[in-house]
Amino acid sequence: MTEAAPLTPPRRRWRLPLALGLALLLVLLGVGLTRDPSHVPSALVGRAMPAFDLPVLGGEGALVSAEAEGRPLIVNFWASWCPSCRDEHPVLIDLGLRARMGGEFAIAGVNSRDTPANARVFLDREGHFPYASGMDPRGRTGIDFGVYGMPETFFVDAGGIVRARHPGPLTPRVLERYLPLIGVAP
Amino acid sequence: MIRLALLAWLVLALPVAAQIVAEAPDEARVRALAATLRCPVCQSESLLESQATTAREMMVLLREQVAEGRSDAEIVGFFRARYGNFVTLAPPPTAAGRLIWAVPGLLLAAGALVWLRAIRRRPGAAPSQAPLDEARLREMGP
Amino acid sequence: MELPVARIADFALALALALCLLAAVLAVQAGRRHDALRLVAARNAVFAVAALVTFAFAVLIRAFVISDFSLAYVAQNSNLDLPLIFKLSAAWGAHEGSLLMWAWFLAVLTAAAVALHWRDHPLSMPWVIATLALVQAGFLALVVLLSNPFATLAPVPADGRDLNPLLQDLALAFHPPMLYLGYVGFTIPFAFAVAALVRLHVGVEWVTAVRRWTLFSWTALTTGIVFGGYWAYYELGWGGWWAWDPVENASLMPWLTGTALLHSMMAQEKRRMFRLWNVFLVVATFMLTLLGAFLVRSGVLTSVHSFAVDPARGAYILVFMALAMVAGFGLVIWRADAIGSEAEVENPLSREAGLLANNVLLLIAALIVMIGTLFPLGVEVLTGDRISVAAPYFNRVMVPLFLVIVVLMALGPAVPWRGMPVARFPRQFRLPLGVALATGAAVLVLGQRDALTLVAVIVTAFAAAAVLADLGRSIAARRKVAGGGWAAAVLAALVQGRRRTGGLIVHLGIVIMAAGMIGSGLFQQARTLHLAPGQATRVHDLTLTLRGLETVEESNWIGRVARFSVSRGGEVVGVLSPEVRFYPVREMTTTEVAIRSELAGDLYIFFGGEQDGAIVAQVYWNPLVGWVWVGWLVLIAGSALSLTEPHAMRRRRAAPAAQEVPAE
Repeated sequence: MTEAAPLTPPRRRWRLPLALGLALLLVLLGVGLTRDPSHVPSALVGRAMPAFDLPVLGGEGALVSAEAEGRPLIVNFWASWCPSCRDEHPVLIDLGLRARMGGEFAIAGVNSRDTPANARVFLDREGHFPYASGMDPRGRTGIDFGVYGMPETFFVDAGGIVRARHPGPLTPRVLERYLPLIGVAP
Repeated sequence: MIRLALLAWLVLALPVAAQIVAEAPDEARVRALAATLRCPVCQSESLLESQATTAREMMVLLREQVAEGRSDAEIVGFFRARYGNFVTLAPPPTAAGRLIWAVPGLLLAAGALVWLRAIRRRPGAAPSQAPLDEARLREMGP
Repeated sequence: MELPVARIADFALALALALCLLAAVLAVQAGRRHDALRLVAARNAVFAVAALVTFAFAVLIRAFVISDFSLAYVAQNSNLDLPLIFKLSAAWGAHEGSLLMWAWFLAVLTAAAVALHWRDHPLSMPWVIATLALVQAGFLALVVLLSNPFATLAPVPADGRDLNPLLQDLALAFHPPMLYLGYVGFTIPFAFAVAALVRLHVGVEWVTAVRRWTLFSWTALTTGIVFGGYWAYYELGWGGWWAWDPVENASLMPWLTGTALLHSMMAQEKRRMFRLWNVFLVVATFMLTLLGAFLVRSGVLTSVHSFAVDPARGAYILVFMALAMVAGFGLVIWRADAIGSEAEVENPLSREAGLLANNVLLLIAALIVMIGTLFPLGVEVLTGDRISVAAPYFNRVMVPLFLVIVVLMALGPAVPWRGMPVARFPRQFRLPLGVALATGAAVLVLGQRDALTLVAVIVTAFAAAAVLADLGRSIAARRKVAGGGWAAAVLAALVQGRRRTGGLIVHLGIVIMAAGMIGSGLFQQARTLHLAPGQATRVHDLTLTLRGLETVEESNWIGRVARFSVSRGGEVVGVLSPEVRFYPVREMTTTEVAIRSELAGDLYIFFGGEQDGAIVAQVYWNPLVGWVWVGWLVLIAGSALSLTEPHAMRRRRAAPAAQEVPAE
């Protein structure tokens, strides 16, 4: 059973937009596959680092952000309950030793959303940092930095501007990428 | 059955004149704001729904700011300055945000054009009035 | 002993894949050369595939029942302490098993469609089989190559990882099967449309063939979505049932175009119109089901729902979708010239004009959901910035659009084909309009000032009155024509006018659901409280008193329970016990919300935690939310009624509609 021929001439205008729209959709989804949807760009990049003044973990005194003025600074957020923090621990210790010997840059840790007791157990087991960590038990400083995972590391240049934020554990490759941004040889 | 027994126990247990507790005065505003902010850790939940420690601390911060009397825009701006546009569940006041708000209107305008173009009046095609009958019944059918 | 069966099932799936490809080749050859033998061979291959996939799925189910942890998938999703019903639902609780279930539905429904339509549609059958076989091949290849549930584990663990506690729930157990039944069901109309396009027989034949498949699939999809919403409501604890989460949106898009298709097909049946719209809508609906599968399983978007992410699977589904789009939309574009419609929409005040508006609005709704869901991805790709397009956007934009569609739904059934005189229009809708304005006035008097809320209430009241008036008119007309009493007329409407009466009942169900959605969405009362034992709070006209806290232990969890008594006017009317549970095997904490459902609304308590002997709780009063679930039941009833309309009656009905009966 065939139908009668159409009475009105067909309109072709919709065909091209439809084809283009579908192609665009497929390309977008394809590109989307190469990205990590949970990755959030930091709102701090290109802006001044938030100031902090935290009690030192396992010691006396305060960890004050102003003390690093004039030098590049690496700020590392860590916690005893975070498994990836163990992975990056040796890298951090190396960085800390380097900072202490050369003085070309400063490095500070922030023990965020953790208790001093658990943090001490962690450090006793993994090895103490050759630099101070501040205590941020409620995570307020983490919120100021826009921390959404653990660990996270911020790379701040000598002028106090945040140049990069790396979510996840530090590796030599990561350092190669970000240290030059703050004027430190990897 | 168990429920009935439990009910009876509760009724008989303590004839306490229960102390009525009301919600804290700012809480409604806190809740409204929290529903528009995204938990940066869980990412698919709002601050109101999320149980993550970061979300809870952000809620504390939110309550403090509401209590201090800051405006909605200031509070949202506070979180946007730290977490970026991602932290607001609504589209941000940027060019991209304005574009997405314009999309429905554009689509509806296009749709209206399509519909209007499809309506063609054939001259003299006035619908007639037929009495209610079997034929009309069938016509009214699915 | 267990291992060989799984290997056989694995082989069965591979064999099924090969047979699907063979069936497709044979079918195409049969279609081009009109070779009956090849067609029969293709059909037999289809039946064999159904048997093989059924066998494989049965093996998987059995593996869960006997807790065969030599299969990695079973070990990841089950546990010796898991209750049996959840061991069964765990079979489709994660990626590999749910894909196998999708493939199983495809296989079974394909065989059923081929068997049912074999005699009536011999010329379309080759292309129908070819399309269905190729779609099946696509899914089976994904299962066999990239998502094999029969992958083994060595050494065999003594116990499994347990099913995600969030999924240990009856409503959620049925949510995927219903959803997939809907998705897979739409493949059948798609196949018939492809056949029609290839043969260039785009007349009413393919539409009448698939009317019930389309209605069945739409009903299943609606059910799947409602189950998901119901589960979210009482499990997730934020007092709502729809969050505009990307995966939720993925299921909504095909539902929207499927609804348009369902109605638009009517115009093709009755007046030979919208032929191009219909092939476009059915192809779009099928493609959107694939897009849904992609979004859920590829990890492109963050969501509460996403299955474990594997970019390889995502890439595969994307390629499959691309090929399907080129084939499906390509056919539509290629044949568009030859399709066209015989009749034009003449009168803006006619059923067909309303259906056209329905098509346009529902398509726009689907486009808004799609564009909104994918917009953040596009912005990120182009600018690197991450923005959100989420509930605040969708609620603001979609609610008014839905209200307009509800108005159309109310007007449609009472507006005749070919048009009605403008003067008659207000008379036809006098009663619903009166009811709507009266309700609006009442709500205004009661203090409601928000414009959107007022409009929503007026629209819902209008729709309710209009649907009931339509039902009443339908019954009254039968009584007048056939004589006899009201009871006989109602019976006649239910038995002889199943499509129309069933359709009106479905509309009634939608209106009831709309009332429930508006009540719980726009009139919700929520409160955050800190309560110590002995303290109480007032919500709506109820008083909630915290009586105490206890610890409870079950087979695979341990928890804290807060016991509340609920009283109205001094009298205790019920008990509510929200919980916090800890599942040791998976190391997950979940909360169990306590809900008291009444006709007027739900009292809903979420146990947030404990603080110095007091508990933190979110308390909600959700007006009319129960009407959403009741409305769904009404919808199911209407749909079932419409589905049971016998063939003979439909053929008889089709003839008179072809005549030029001028409507009043």
